[in-house]
Amino acid sequence: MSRALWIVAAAVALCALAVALPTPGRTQRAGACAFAQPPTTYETTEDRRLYMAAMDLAGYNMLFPGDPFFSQLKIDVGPRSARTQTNDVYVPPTLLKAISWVESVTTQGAPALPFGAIGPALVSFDCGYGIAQVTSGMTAPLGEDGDPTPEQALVATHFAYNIGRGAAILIDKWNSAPESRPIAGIDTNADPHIVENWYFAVWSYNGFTGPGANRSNHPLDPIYGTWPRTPYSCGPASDGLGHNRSLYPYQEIVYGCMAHPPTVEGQQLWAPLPASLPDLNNPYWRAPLDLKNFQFPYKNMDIPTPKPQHTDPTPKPTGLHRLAVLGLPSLAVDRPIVLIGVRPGESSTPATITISNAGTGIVPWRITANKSWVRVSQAAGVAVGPDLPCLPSSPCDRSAEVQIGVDATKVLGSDAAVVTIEGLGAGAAKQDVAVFIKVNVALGVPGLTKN
Amino acid sequence: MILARVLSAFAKPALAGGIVAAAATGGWFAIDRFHHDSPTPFAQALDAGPRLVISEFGPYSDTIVAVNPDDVGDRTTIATVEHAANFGVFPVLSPDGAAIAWTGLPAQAANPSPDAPATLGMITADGGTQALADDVDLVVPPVWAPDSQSVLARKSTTDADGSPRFDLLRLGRDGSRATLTTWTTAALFPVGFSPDGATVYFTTLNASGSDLYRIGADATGEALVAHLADDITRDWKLSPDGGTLAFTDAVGGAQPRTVARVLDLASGAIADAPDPGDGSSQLAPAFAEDGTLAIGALRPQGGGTAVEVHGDGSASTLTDTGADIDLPIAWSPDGSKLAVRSVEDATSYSAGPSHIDLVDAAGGRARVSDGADTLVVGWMR
Repeated sequence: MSRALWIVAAAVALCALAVALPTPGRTQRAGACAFAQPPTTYETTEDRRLYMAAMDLAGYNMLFPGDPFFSQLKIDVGPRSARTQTNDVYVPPTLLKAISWVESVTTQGAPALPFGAIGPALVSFDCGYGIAQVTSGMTAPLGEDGDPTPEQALVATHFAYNIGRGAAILIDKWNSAPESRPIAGIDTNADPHIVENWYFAVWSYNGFTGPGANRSNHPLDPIYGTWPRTPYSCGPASDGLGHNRSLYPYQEIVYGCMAHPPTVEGQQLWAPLPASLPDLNNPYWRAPLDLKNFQFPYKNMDIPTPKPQHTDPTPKPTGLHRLAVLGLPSLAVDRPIVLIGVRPGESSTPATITISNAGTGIVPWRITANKSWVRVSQAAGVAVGPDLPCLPSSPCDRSAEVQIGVDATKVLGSDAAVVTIEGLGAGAAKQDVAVFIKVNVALGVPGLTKN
Repeated sequence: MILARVLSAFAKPALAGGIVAAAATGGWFAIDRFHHDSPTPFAQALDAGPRLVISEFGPYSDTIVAVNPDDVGDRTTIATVEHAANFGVFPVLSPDGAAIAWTGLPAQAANPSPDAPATLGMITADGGTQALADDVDLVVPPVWAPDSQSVLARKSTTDADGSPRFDLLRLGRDGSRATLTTWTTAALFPVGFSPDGATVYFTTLNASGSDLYRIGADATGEALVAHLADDITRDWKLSPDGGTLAFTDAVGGAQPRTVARVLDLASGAIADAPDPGDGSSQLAPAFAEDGTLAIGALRPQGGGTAVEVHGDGSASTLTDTGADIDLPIAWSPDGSKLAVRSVEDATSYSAGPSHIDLVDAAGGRARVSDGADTLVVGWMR
């Protein structure tokens, strides 16, 4: 092959590389959810102890207290006629654990990502992200210039923020009563510490649908088995209970899973917590659930607490638990300046920066740029501290290498841009990287270049 | 004899005009079958005399098994159907016993949901496989035509304004597809065909209650047959002679319970099934070929009986299992055995583990499944 041909081939390859680098959230948008490509995340070991600890904290509002996005500031209590708000924000932690198992098998990473690894986050077909399968606010990038927001990046990349957001959404469903949802627990002051009182909120987490919808969660819907039903179980197939999700409304799957937890590495993932379902043969519950009452705003569907009632014995965590879950992350970027060679209109040679965590825990990060011609290989991800275990055979790049390139068709001459790497969450910090363009002009003689 | 186990790509062998490949839904159902010139296990089971066909749920695939009712340990695996994780398929045996149609979510579906479009698939005793649709509802099992050549299925979609739309589809094994009726004011549920196959029955459900409609199999002449109840009805079963419909009605009020009723299709008259008079809920009606109706009766204090209702209206106890209850599912072709779901420690508000049993009037009982995850697919004659 002649030298000229080599040069042409190299130019084509470089163009292809430049095209392959997406801008932060700006490409492949159609139907692509909040991120064009799933950002990276950390997946803990199979015992999921870290995630369980995070859900204990979320239940007691100790994960991100006071944060209006990753927790709730208030929770409503009391019957319809005397609804009040309290600062004692609480969700039974075991309920969160059961929901997480039903939603994602309690995994933050994509199904192909092994445990104890770093890799792509879990994203469902309907833009549900991570452990809690957060869909609300994740169906499109919502930040400036079409970038994902910091909140979206946190939900997608960090298990604790995902869990916090999931709990916040569940409490939001709870707080939707009485305006647009019924109340469970009219005889117990709708106390959120009683797990049965979360019946309608759990139903709503999956969709407050009833007879007439193609996916109905109404317990009387003819698509489900005769009442009373053998309970659903997340336990072993040999337990004699039901394991086929096609046969149960969502809230019965969650409550059944809570009472019959999955076994992982020979241990139940949480202590079984039984919960009673509304007795459909008792007028106290059957009458409110009557078909004619399933009409917005469902004001005739309020029910007493299903009996016998139960509370979650999970003890309140301490501040040390929070430290163990979140660590003390610290963003670090290996260089402040990058120089990128460009043939305007033709190709560019990307530069690489390394984002790492100088502390512990996880640094979720996202990248934004102030010029539209900047392209980065990854819009968001994580840098993982040495304290979080990876398994020997699992992918585990604790530091992220991000390629910064340019869209050569949009660069006409010397130019500069600023790429901002933003550490999110507990390790909030920013570091700018200056991007300078080095223009390469090809002369007419093959093999010669004038800079 | 050597049997080669082949994982065949679903639908490819039988794709014909109008038949939709399951691949269009993002994945294939895989049918595990024995591929050989000799009769398939399905065909062998079909020729072996009466067999109860069941579907044993697995997290990623369901196994369809033919069980000898006289020796429940004598089992033949007919097929394995892969499906989306944790969401089993709904299989139904054809009247001639030579085909099984089912609804299911494709195995490759990521984070599946029961409201995702499901595939309606079919396998036949000769080893053939088909996918008749890729857009039906998972949770509404197929309903066979008497000639075993087509099935009814439901397709639901959501209009731009968010309102639901329900289509009643007739899908032929020849690849034909017809929408018999579309409803936007109520959910519809296919119930069955008249014995001659000319008429299709379906129920509707909305805030006004439940109604039964009929429509010609050629999509003409839709008409209301009867208003079944102001409440939710379920478990609709047409009698073998096509003259009556048995169903249960979840009655509200001061003493809510489920009541079994029988509708005379000719007159539209609805009568209550014989009532034990002890406040029991009546559940899961099932007709035998001679018109005998079995009903489960759940006592208010727990436990219950399976009751036979005879043609003259008299009733007799078929089983009484103390704290448990037998919920009728399907009679054997000769009416000698009844497949039931036996639910342990059943009360009006809770239930324990359950399994499939075969019972008979002489008190015989044989356990067919050890767990709750088994579905009855039908009886081979």
